[in-house]
Parts: sequence; C-alpha cells; structure tokens
Amino acid sequence: MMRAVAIVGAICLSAAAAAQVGVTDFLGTGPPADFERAEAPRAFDFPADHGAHPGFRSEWWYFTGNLAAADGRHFGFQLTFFRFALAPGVIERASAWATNQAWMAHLSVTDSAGRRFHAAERLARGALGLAGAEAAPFHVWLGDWEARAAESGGGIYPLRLIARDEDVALDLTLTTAKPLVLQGENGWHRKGPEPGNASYYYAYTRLIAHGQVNIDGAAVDVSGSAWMDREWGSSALGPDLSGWDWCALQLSDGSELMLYRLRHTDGRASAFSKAEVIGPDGERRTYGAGEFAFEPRRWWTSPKTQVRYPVAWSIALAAEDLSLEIEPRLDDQELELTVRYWEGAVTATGRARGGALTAEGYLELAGY
Amino acid sequence: MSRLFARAGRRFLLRHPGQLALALAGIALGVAVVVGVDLANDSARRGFELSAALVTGRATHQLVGISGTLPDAAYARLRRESGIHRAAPVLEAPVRLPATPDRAFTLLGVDPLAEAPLRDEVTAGAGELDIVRLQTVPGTVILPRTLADELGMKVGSHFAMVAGGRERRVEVAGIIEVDRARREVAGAVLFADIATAQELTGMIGRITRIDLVLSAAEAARLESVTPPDQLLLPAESQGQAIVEMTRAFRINLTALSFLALVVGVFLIHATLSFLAVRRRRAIGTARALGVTQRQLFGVTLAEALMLGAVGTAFGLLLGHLLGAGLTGLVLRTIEDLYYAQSTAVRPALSIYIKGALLGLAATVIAALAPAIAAARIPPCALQSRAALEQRTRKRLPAMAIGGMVVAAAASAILMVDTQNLVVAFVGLFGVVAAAALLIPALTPWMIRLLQAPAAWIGGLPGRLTARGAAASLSRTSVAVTALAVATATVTGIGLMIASYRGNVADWLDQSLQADFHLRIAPGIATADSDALQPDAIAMLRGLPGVAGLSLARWSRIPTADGGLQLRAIEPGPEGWGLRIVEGNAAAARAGFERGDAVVISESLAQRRQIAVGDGFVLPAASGPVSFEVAGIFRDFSSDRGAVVMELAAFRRHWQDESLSGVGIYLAPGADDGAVRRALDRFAAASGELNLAASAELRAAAMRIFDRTFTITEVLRWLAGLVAFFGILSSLLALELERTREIGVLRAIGFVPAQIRTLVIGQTSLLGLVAGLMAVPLGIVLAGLLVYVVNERAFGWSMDFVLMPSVLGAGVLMALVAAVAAGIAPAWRLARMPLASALREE
Repeated sequence: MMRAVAIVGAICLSAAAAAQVGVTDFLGTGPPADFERAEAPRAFDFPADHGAHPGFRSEWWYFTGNLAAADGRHFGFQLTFFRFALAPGVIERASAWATNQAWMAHLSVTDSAGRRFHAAERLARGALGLAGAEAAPFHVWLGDWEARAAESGGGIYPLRLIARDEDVALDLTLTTAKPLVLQGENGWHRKGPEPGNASYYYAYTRLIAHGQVNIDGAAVDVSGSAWMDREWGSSALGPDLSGWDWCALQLSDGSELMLYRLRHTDGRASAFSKAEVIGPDGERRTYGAGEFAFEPRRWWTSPKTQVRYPVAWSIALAAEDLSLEIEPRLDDQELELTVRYWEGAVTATGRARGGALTAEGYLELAGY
Repeated sequence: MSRLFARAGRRFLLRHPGQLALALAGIALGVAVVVGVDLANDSARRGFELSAALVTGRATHQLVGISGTLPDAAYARLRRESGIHRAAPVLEAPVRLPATPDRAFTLLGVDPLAEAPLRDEVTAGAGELDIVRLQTVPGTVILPRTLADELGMKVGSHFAMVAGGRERRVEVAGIIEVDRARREVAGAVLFADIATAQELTGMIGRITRIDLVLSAAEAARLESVTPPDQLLLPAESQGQAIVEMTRAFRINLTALSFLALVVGVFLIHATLSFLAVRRRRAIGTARALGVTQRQLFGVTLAEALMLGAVGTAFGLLLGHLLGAGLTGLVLRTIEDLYYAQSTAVRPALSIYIKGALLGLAATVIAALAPAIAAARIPPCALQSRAALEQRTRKRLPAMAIGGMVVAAAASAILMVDTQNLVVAFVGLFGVVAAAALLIPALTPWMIRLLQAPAAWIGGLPGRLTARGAAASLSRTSVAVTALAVATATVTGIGLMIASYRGNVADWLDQSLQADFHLRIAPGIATADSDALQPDAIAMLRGLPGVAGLSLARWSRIPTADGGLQLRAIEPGPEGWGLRIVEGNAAAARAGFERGDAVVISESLAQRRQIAVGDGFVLPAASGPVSFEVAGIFRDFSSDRGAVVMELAAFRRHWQDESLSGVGIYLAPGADDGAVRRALDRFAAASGELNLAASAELRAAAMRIFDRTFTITEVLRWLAGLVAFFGILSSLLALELERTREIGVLRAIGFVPAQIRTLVIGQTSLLGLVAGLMAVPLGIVLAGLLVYVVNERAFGWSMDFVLMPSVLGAGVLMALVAAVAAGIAPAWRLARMPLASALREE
C-alpha cells in the first residue's frame, strides 16, 4: 500500500547505488504539479487498470508471499515493479530513448532455514521496451524480470512471476483464492488531509502460489500463498511524517488483515493510520487510527547500516477481539538498494474471538 | 694533493667561462631534449590510458557492431533476453566547442539508470546534478567542474557545441566533481542522456557500443548468443589499442631525443679531452709530486660528474619547459595520425629522475676516455704537443678497427628478422657509434685531400690552414666527429621526411583520381544518411560533363586489436587507385572484381603477418566470411590497416546499400565550374554532404602530413643546435690551445686580418670535412629510417628519394656552424697582444 509511495521522490532513482538513501530522504520533494492526482473515487476499468497510468507520478505492482518446499522448508519472496514519472506529460522527441518514465524492480527471497536473505534490484527507463506494463494480456516487466498473464483472455490470473539474480531465482504461478478487493473508499485511498494526497489502490489478498525457487543453483519446488498490491497516485508523504510501518497478514481463519501506521516526526501515529480486515467471505471492515494498537516489541540493529528496525510487533484490534504477536522469519531482511528499507516475511500467533490463531505475511518498515 | 689538483681543475674551468658554459649547454640541451620528449610521450600515453579508463569505466567487455554502431534494439534485446543487467548503452562522439576551438571533446551519451555498475560520473551525485532535467529535457548536458569553471558556466547556462556536423545550443544540467586522479582527462568529457546525445549528433536509432560488466560465465553465455553482426570484445583491449598503436610513434620520438643526447655526450667528451690536454703539464707535475693514477682518474671523473650534475640540473629545467611545448605537438600529431583524442596529464616525477640519471651516466661515459688519458700522463710531463698528437694518431687505426667491428655488429642487429622497433634503433645507434669511431681516422685523409685545393685557393695561409687543422687532430677529431654526427642526423631525418613526403604525394595522386569527391559529413553515420540514395547516384551520373563515378562505402570493422578500415569500392573509369606492392596487380584486380578476394594494406599485412594468397576472415552481417588476400597495396592513410573489397560483394555480405562517398570524374573538355556548381547545390540541398575537389583534398592531406612531422622537425633542429654548441665548444678549445702558435705567426709578420682569415679558414675546413663525411652517414641513416624504422613502426614501405638539396643543406649547415663557431676565437686571437700570446703556457 503505502509501500514505496515515498519513493516518488526516488525520481532521483538514477542517483542509484553509490548514493544509497533511506526511503524517506526523498519525502517532501516539491508539489506534484501537472501530474494527474487521485482527488476522488473513480470507477475502475479492468483489465485496463491493470496496466500503467503514466500520468500519475508513481505506481507499483507488488507481490509478496510465503512458500514452503515439500519438506516444509520456508521461503519468503517479494517481487515489485515500480514505475515513476520523472516529469508530467508525454514527451515527443526524435530519439527512441527519450522518455519521462523510469522503472525500478526489487526481488527478495528469504531462506528461513538457510538463514539467508537475498535482495536484488533492476533499473531501466521506460523506453525501447526495456520496461513497461500492458493491461491485456497483462504483462509488467523490467528487463527479464516479469509478471505475465499465463492465459490469454483479459484476466491477470493465472499469473506467472519470473525473476532471477546471480544466486537466486523465482518462477511461480499465482492463482486467485479470493476476489479483488478495492481498498479505502472503493479503491480511493487517502493518506492525509490535503485533497489529492491519496492513491488508487486495489489488492488480491489471498493468492495460491506454486512453482520453483532457485537458491545457489539448486531448484526447489514450492507452494504457498501470496498477496498482490496495486497502487498509483501522485502524492508525497506530508512534511511532518517520517515514515510508516505496514503489515499484511493472512490469518489461519481465512481472513486477512492489512494495517499500517504513519509515523510523525515526533514518533506519534498519524490520524490517517488504518487497519482493514477482509473476512473469509470477502467482506471488508475498516478501522481508524484510534481503534487499534500496533506497537513494536523488539528492535534489531542492522550490522550493515547500523539502522535500528522494530522487527517484532504486537497488534490489538478490539472491535474484532483480535490480538497478534508478529515475529520475523529472519531479523535481517533489510533491502539495501537504491532505497533502503526493511521488508520481510513474518509469522504471527494470537487469538481471535477466544480461539487460537496463526498467520503469515509480510511486514514493511520504512523511514528508519 | 689530489684535492689541490681538483681545486686547480675547478679554477681552470672558472677562468674559461665560455668553455664551461658550452660544456654545460651541451649536456643541458641533451638532457632537456630527452626529458622534454619523455614528458610529452608520457603525458600523452597516460592521457590516453586515463581517457580510456574514464569512458570505459569498470567495463570488462564491450559489445560493438561490425558496422561501427549498434541499433537501439540491440540493447533492449540484451537486457530483456540475456538476463545480463550490468550493461550500459553508450553513444560516444567527438564534439567541438566554439568557445575553445583548439581542443577536442568527447560527448558520452549514457543512460543514467544503467550507469551505476559502470561509471560514477552521473550517478555518484558529486556536484550539482539535475538528473531529472538531464533525462527529460532535450539539449541538456553535464560538464566536468574544470571545464565549467574554464568556460564560466553554471547550472542552467547555455553554450554552443558542434556535434554531428551541426552547431547546437545546449544547456548545462549539471556540473560534476571529478576525483583528482582523473581531473585532467575528465575535463574533456561531457555527459548527456543517450536520447539527447542521439539528437545532438544526429545518430538517431544508433549507439556506439554497450559497456558490460561480465563474469567469465556470463561472457561465454553472451558470446554464444551474440548475433553475427555484433562482436563481444574485452574492454581493456579497446582502451589499450590506442596506447599500443601510438607506441611506435612514441618510440620514434624517444630515439630521436637520444640522438640529441648522444651529441651532448660528444660535447662533454670534447670539453674533458680539452681539459686533459690543456693541463698535461699540471698533471705531470702532480704525478711527480706523488698523485697516483687512480687519484687522477678519480679527480677527472669527479670533475666530469660535477659538470654533468650542473648541466643536468639545467637540462631538467629546460626539459620541463620543452616538455610543455612538445606535449601539445605530440597530442596533435597523434590526433592527426590516429584520430584519437586525449588531453595531456601531469607527467610522472620518475621522468625527471630518469633524465637526471641519464644525464649523469652520459657524462660518465663521455668522461671515461679523457679520464683514462689524464691518468696516463707520465710524471713531470715533458711530453710535447707533438708527442701527444703522435699518440692520438697511433690510436686511430685501433679506433677505426673498433668502428668497423661496431659497424658489423650494428649490421648484424639490423639484419635480425624481427619487427621490433627498439632493435632497429639499437642498430641505428650502432651505426652512429661506428661512424663516431671511424670519422677520426678518416679526418686526416679528408684534410689531406683538401690540402691541395686549400693551398691553391689560399696560398701559404691556405696551406697553413690545412696543415694546422691536421696537426691538432687530438682535438679537431672530436669536434669534427660531433659535427659530422649531428649533421648526419639532421640530413638523415631530412632525407627521410623528404622521401616520406614524396611517397605520400605520389600515393595521393594515385588515390585521388576523381576530380570531385562527395562525402557524408563527419559525425553522421553513413548507415543513417539518405543523401546518397540510388536516385541521387543516377542524377549525379546524368549531370552534363560527368564521365563517370566511383562509389565507396567505408566502415570501421571492430577487432580485438583496435579495429581496421573496410573500404568497399566500385572503381571509376580511371582504375581503382591502388598501387599493389606485393602480388600480381592484374591478378589482384581480377580477384577483387570476382568479389571473393580482397586487397589489404601493407600495415595490416605486416601487423597480422598476412601474405598474398592467405585467407582473411571478416565479420559480415551473416557471420564470418573468409576472403582470399589477392594483393597488398601501399597505403599511408592508417596504420591500423585497411581492407579493400568490391562494393557489390560488400553489399551482398553486409546487406548494407548505403554509400559513404562518391568520386566524380569529368568528361574531357567539361566545364568544371558548371559541374562544381551543380554538385555544390546538390551537397547543400542534402545538408549531409561535403564536397571537395581532388586538389583541395590533396592539399589538406599534405597539410596534415607536414603538421605530423612538425615534432620531428623540431627535434631535428634541436639536435642541430646541440651540434652547433658542440662545434663551438671544440673550436674554442682548439683556438685557445693554439695561442702560442698564433703568437709566433704574429711575430713573423702575420697581421690580425690574416690571423682571422687563418682561423676562420681552419674552422671552415673542419666544418667542410665534417659536412662531407656527414653525407654518406646521413644517407645511411635516412635509409635505415625509411627502410627499417618506418616499416617496423607503421608497416608501410616507401621508396627512398635521395634529395641532393637536403644533402647540400647539410654540408652547408656544418660549414656555417663551423664558421660561426670560429668567429669569436678568430677575433680574440687576432686582437691578443703579441707578448701575452707568446707568454701563454
């Protein structure tokens, strides 16, 4: 959701590698003049809306999931395609390289048993077919990393995810277990009081994944569940916000929980923090900032960057009679790429309406 | 005692400041020339290396197109299909800035998003950089800080740039800081987004190369899927290629600079010999007082080292200044010869240390013989001048034999079947050394030969002149040798350049057969130009007054050793303009016509050791194609090598119909003004063509030729200058020596005017002898330069042109130098009071 929203500022993407920065270092870049803005709810148009919206400043296709081999060995994965418009409008120039669209993709694989975390990044301009997104048949790609509809016919799913780096590769097929969910107000998702400080947001909260994970040259057959987030907008994080903590969990009772808190620079949670529950039947319940507790339980300091992240959390959602304790699969799931953040596979245990409960999902910690 | 003697030596030198100054000047100039050339060479070489490193970045490999460029799609294909992501597209183009018209700049068009693995300039964020503006606004570039400061540019400033043959206004989107190590070369590289670079250069749809960082496994995988019209090359070889290519050129300059040092060695030698002779009485006394031979040897050597040290110090200073001037010449010459651009960088300190050691070593070598001679002077030297002369004379046969041995050794070295340039120069220096040993033996013969004409011209004074010159061989021989060697160097190089020039002129006449030439303007990719489409060719053929056309398609074939030029031609009505030097000309032409054979340039044949009848594989669009080498032709245009094939064959194998140039042949009696106007209109309308008459091209080529030899000429005259100081020093010494003899002449009635004539006459005679002996040596040196050095350095053969005017000028130079050197002593001796002249000694 919020996810790399702030990376909007990462228009300076190109300042890659050497000038590695924290996600929120990009916050507060000037007002998004002349970009299209998410100022009101809209009627979604599928499959067209699965494709790119180049008039908006940023957009992403976000896949995360928890997988297991036949012997129970756990793997977490993240594959994300980000699109950024460096400048508004469409440019007409003689060179085919000319574009104002830039793309970034992140791949991470968490090998819980091997206690290793692999992360990789690709960058490309949105020209010459180096990277792009097409609605039908659905295809989003950057170089040879891609998410592609496995069947023609307009739908995204079944969807094939393919990405590889030097020592890790992913080849998964995803199918839907639950229908598409329009988040926020019918897919219009506000992040602050200002008009237009919002995005369009939908998700597939429960997907069935199977395929192969390749680690250090060994292919492992895996299956599990995944989550897809789709978001586009032109907003930046407000100037008084320093970052966010975000979590998406698939609960053993068949429901899903997505919650986040936006952090003020003084450490308080913003009033626009939110929790959403999608019941087993697909019904959606939304809770505001005052209705849930989302508190860190344990901090971990990255040996590479010396940054401290709260990697374990407690959740309490009184209205649902839900309490959960979140633990990371690995403490070290820090992505030290063009932007630096922590995003990793987590498990949770707790109780809902008096019954014991487990969950797994992904946690994102940005702005530390 | 020996300390006392040492002090006497120093005082002697101080009392003869002219002598001292000349000895110092000799060694200083010799060292200066060596250091100056070394500085220029080193600066150029490291400039190329650093430039190469800057533009190649961390690339391990480069993917290039066999036609010289790659289509945009090659990069997209690489990224999408091969999975190789440390890959950056590059469009590299030469550009000029009207604000600093004399300097060459490189525009590097890059994709900032792909740069991080390769280069840091546009990603590291050092400096003021608006990357977004660079990528999204056309006509924006990034300047290195040094250049921005020089031009007074700030972010947002605009300036004019000439790219792709057109002048454009561009905006500064960023100024980058460059680390100290690269600052000097980085000042010549401008960055732009690759889209902007394509638009500025007009190379829409094309890129120069793809820089890659590959593991061995990735390289092997990529190699296996690289299409036939692309080549994967190790990046290092591309950067190194220019350094390798210019190596021969740099060795040539170094060798020439050593000639100057050799002359400097003669100078020191002359001064020290003179010193030994002058002080034989003092030395004899010292010996009688108990100074040992060893001590004397040591003192003499120490004196020499002191001279050498002071001279070397001056030499280093002078060399430093000279280097600054020569560096520009070297860079410009390399740019003319190799089309490679670079900037000078600050030279290494080690060059000065090397120069200092060389200066001192040269001094020691020059001092050895005089030191031994001094040590051998018997106690209480009652030895007369005549006895000394006797001994010098007795040594002559041994020296002559030594000279012949050295000459034989040098010949043997030169006959060694190798392409090594250093070996060639060792042989050449051997020849010089042999001459230096032989000339003293020949000098008396020469003087004796000139005695009769001298007496006939000058009567008694004439006879005296010749006799006097012959009688003081112990010093004259050194002077004559130094002057002869220097003159031979000057004439040898002069003859080589004259031959070269003549050969190039002939070659131009043969190559430029058409009356007019239309060519795609530099900076515009031939494949992209539609200026020479079939309908345009048909129109040109139909122009009134046009008898025929020759068509040409030039392309640069990338190879691991730096690339070669492929010239596909359809000859015009007057033959193909190639002079076949190996293989049968008719057979070569027949093979060419068939299309299954090519002819290659001499330099290529030499470099790759290819003979007529061999196969030669070229990377065609459909994959490698082997052609028979039907002949080897003479070519002075590029020492990278060139391949000529028939145009239809090229079109078949490369699937490329474009043309780079057209030669227009006039019909007999045609109105060439009218044709020119028509061609001018056609060229102007296309906007992409340059029109030139053969005479203009020829003149331009000769201008470049002369420019490339400027540095050689400069060195040649520096060697001449050192020689002049040498002869001046020797003659000054000689005349001082003869003060008493002159006194006697004055006493028996010679008037000062006669003394002057006598002295000038003698020095002229010596100059003439040196000049005459320099003739055969100069011819031998020129022959070696033409037949051995040039062929090894550049791979092309030349016909030796013996220009009598160059030889005559050499003799004249020796004569003038000698006369000029004799003026001061002549006046001084003539003016000297009789009594003091007689009292001398």
